[in-house]
Amino acid sequence: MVPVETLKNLDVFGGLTEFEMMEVARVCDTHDYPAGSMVFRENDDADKLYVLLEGRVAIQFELGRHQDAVVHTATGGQAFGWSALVQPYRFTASARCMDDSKILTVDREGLRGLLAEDCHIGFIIMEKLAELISGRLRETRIQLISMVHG
Amino acid sequence: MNHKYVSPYVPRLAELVTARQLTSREKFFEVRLQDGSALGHQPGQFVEVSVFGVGEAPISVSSSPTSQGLGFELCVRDAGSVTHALHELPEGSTIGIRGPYGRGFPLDELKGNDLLFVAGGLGLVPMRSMINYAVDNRADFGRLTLLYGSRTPADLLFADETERWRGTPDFHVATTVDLADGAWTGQVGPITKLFGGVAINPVRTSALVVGPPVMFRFVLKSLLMMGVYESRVYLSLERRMKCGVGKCGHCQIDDVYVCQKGPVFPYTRVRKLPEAL
Repeated sequence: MVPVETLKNLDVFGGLTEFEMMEVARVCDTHDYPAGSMVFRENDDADKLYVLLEGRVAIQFELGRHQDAVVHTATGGQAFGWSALVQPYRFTASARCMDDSKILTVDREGLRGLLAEDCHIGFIIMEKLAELISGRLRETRIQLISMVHG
Repeated sequence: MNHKYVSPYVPRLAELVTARQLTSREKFFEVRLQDGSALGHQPGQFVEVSVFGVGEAPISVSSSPTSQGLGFELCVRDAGSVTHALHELPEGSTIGIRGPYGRGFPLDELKGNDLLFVAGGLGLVPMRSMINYAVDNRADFGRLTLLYGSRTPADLLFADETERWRGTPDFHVATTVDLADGAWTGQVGPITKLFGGVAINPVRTSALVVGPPVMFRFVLKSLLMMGVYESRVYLSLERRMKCGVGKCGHCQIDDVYVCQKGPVFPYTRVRKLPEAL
């Protein structure tokens, strides 16, 4: 559990009432990760949703031994690890800390329980998640166009 | 009065003073006109470069007219027969230069404004001329911001200079790449992602955009959402340049010859040319 203040000003929880944030805060925790450490790896069980509080995290694909392709950099306040709320609940990419980072983690089962019980929390968080995934898709399209036509 | 007629079709001879590889595809050249004269260009203008026996290609000037050197600078991607031949020439070789041509950035209109430079890929080459002009005339401009995007870290141009700009007072520099390996410590994502980290005063900001045409529509959307006035957004259509003198017609969009009326245009003009974006 984290203080509810930790959730305020985080975009992914914007639109929740203070009471609803308190409910979500119960299934959250914070962790410090040193620079260079892996938060999760591609195909891991996506048991948590992550929100970056401090630092930077590279979202990357492992192409082979010692060969990574970084496709996105998450910065302060951004959520990542959305696979925790989308079947089959396996991370589609790896996440590596580029700096010493402070990360809010949201327990998948706890959050899914909340979403099932309270449809307003469910609507707000899934809407934010759709926004996040849509933004990533848009960024990927621009990157693709830039790589091909730039 | 002694008027010496110089045909616009005849190149002036010039020497490749220095030539060095910047990236795997781009080479940097310092060029000096053999008659000792200055090029007399404005930031955003271009020249026609001849490699004798091969042909001629339009190339944006990369140095500022305020630079202290005797010549001017070009940065050229090995992308065709002329540019490939230019890459093969050793230092000391003689080339031909016509120009400068076109309308560059509107320096008088930009004075007193904050400047937001948005450069994609090779777009940093002509932008470098304008950036160094603004740095050399720092008192004439407000806050400076450069957003620079490239495909990969290996494609980033003028890395040392970018760091120098970062150290210039009231100059915010942000770079991003579309794809990186694990060793890259900078930002990864499209250039539009950099707009989120920029604090500008849209009312007093002029935005200058140079890059691949596919970048324009995404960047324009971000700029207009930030509140930058359409009349203060300038785009360089430098990739359309061709003969420089309005004869070949290759640069033409509707009734506009980009070589002559541009390559720098205000967005309010370009938006009436759908083919341009």
